[in-house]
Amino acid sequence: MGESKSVSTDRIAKLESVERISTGFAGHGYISSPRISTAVFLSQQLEKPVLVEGPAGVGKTELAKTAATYLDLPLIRMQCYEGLDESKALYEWKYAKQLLYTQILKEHLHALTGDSTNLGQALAKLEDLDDIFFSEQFLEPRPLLRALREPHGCVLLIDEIDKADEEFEAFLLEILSDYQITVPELGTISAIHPPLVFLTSNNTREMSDALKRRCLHLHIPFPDRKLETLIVEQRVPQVPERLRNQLVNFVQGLRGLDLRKLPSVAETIDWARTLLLMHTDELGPDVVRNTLNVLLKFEEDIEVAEREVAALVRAARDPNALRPA
Amino acid sequence: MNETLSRFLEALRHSDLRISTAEILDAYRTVDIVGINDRSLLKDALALSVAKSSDEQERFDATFDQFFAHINVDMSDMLADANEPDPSEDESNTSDSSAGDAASSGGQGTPDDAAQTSPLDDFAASGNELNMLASMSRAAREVGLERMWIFTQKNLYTRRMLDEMGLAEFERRMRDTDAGDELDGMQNARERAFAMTREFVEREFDIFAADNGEKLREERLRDIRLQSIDQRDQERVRRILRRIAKRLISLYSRRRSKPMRGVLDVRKTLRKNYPNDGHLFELHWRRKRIKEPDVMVICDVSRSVSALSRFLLYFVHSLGEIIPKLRSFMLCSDLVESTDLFDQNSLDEAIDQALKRVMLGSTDYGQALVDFDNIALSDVSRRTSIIILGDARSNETNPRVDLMQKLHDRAKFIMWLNPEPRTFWGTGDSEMLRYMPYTHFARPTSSVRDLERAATALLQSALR
Repeated sequence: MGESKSVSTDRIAKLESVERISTGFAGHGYISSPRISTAVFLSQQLEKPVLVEGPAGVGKTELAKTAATYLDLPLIRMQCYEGLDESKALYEWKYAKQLLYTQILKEHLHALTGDSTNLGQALAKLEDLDDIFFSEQFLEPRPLLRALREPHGCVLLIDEIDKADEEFEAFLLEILSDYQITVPELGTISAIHPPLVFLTSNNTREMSDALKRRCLHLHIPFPDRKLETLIVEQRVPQVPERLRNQLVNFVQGLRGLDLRKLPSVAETIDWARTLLLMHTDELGPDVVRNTLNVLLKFEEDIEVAEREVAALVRAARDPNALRPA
Repeated sequence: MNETLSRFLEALRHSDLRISTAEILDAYRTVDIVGINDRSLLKDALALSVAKSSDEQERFDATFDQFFAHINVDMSDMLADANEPDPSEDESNTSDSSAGDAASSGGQGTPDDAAQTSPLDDFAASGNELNMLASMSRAAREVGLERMWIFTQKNLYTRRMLDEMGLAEFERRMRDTDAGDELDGMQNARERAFAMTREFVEREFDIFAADNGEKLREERLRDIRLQSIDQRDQERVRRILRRIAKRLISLYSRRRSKPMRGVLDVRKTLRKNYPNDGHLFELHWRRKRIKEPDVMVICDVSRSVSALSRFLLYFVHSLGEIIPKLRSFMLCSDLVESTDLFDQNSLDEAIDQALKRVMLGSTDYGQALVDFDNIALSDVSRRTSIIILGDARSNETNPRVDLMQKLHDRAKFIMWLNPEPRTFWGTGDSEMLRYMPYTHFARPTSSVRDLERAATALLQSALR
């Protein structure tokens, strides 16, 4: 008990202010905007989940992971997909084990009920044994139940909630608002320690109002130039400053084009690593053309971008030229 | 802060954020936690708990900046309540001094003899704009400024607020004052008070009532005849149609399958019960998948109907999320398919190009049905819903009702939208009454409201 108390006070101390969260996250390699840190702060204070939306690759999942390492809590991740149901998300009875045990225990059951003369008596005796086959022993906890039963709390990441069905979304409401779930055979299970919950969504469909109402809503857009430079600096520190500025400028310019999938931070970081491996120290049209497939994931996007490479590289090398656009 | 916060939430609602009671409670708790001293922190925190989509986020940011740009008023209001303003002794001098000076220096000098303490007198005496703002807030509350509804009321409320602040008395004393420095000072103060109050009212109006006129207008536009709509209202109508489309999409996109009562899904039941040693504890019923509907739109684009056709096409295309398979045809003297145009171009361009394709002349529905029979009849199945928009005025040609009957036999649902009122159907060269028996739904359609009703009927039958 004493240990758990110190763990939770530690956790509270780490989340005591927005600034502390920002610096703490930065220490773990995650550069967060003030709004992101405020979201984590409020999530702790209000005991509310955070619904994180934004384009792919801006660090939605990374946010939860960083929160977990920063707070030194286990991260329990649930990936959503179409057809996900409560037996995959919450709990399941271990059917095979139940069956196996009934087979093995057949003898004992026989012995127990052996002296009863009729069915009624045998049944009454069995009733006395309680529902042993529907007890915790045979319960297979899935991510949500595990999250509620973590003794020191945890970070629960419900990833890509928009991929799950609407029924599942409705099913989540109980756990999101009260941090408890109901298992018919066992009753209601409440969280030992309310977990820090992050839900991420790529906006492939609109979430229901009921879900939104229970969450803080955090939208992470593409980072601006300054933030992106910081992120690259943090993640790929070996990249020399001049190249760093140039490559960030280039990516920022690329986002201005009409593309099917805009490059996000994850791609910028990959690209920075690629350029590093190629021993590039200045951005040139040829290098960019050769490595464009790291940034862009569709053939037609690459075609569109290739036409603009020269102009974008020129602009990226001379940051002043970028201003008016 | 409580009152300010609730006014802010009210302002957010006016800019179309949906804020429930639970969210209001959240907002209060949030403010309790983060405090009000750090404005950007307050903004971030409130945005997180109140704005629930990136769209709402933008509107939140705008409203926050607009609202809290003048929040100093309410803060100074609180200050003013705490310690009464003390007017300065030298009236003419201070009122002549510049506004910035007076505001920054606060109430200076010694207390007056307090014979007249109407806010305007204070203002004339001290020129203290902060105190004036506080008084205006109070006056606004007294006259019920939040009831201001439409822009024509701005003057009325400005006047009422000034009256509340003692304008009548002030003007009477102005008349009694002899010309000179003192009168100049008073006149000056009066003018500035007018300007400030007016500005105050404008700002309140922008935050709380600016969209009321717009709402009224939109409400009216729903019933207006689309065929004769003003150029300048077209964009508005589209916005309304987009909104309706969005609602219909969320309403009808949910159900992908529906249960068939009492029909056992044997395979699924067996599969699901393997863990139970083959004992059939859990039963599963067969479900019927709701297939994606096929929709074909045939639009009359002759001059009498073309504007309405545009709106219909626009509307149906906005429903793309639930009607992915949409084919469109244009009809005048003959009929051409225009589906490909809509795939490549923006809606307006597509319609313009389609108009070039079709032979503009006297409409001939019989010929159009023959063309349709050639182009698309083989694709019409039990899943196809057909919308026909036109006045059915065929200029005395053979209406080919037999083809209409054929269509009716093949398709799932045929809807005929006629821009003319029902009493005109069948008069003159209108063949409407002869076509009508072979439709499932025939209605006069001329306004946004009619379009909405038609779309609902379409979706109800197409997604069955």
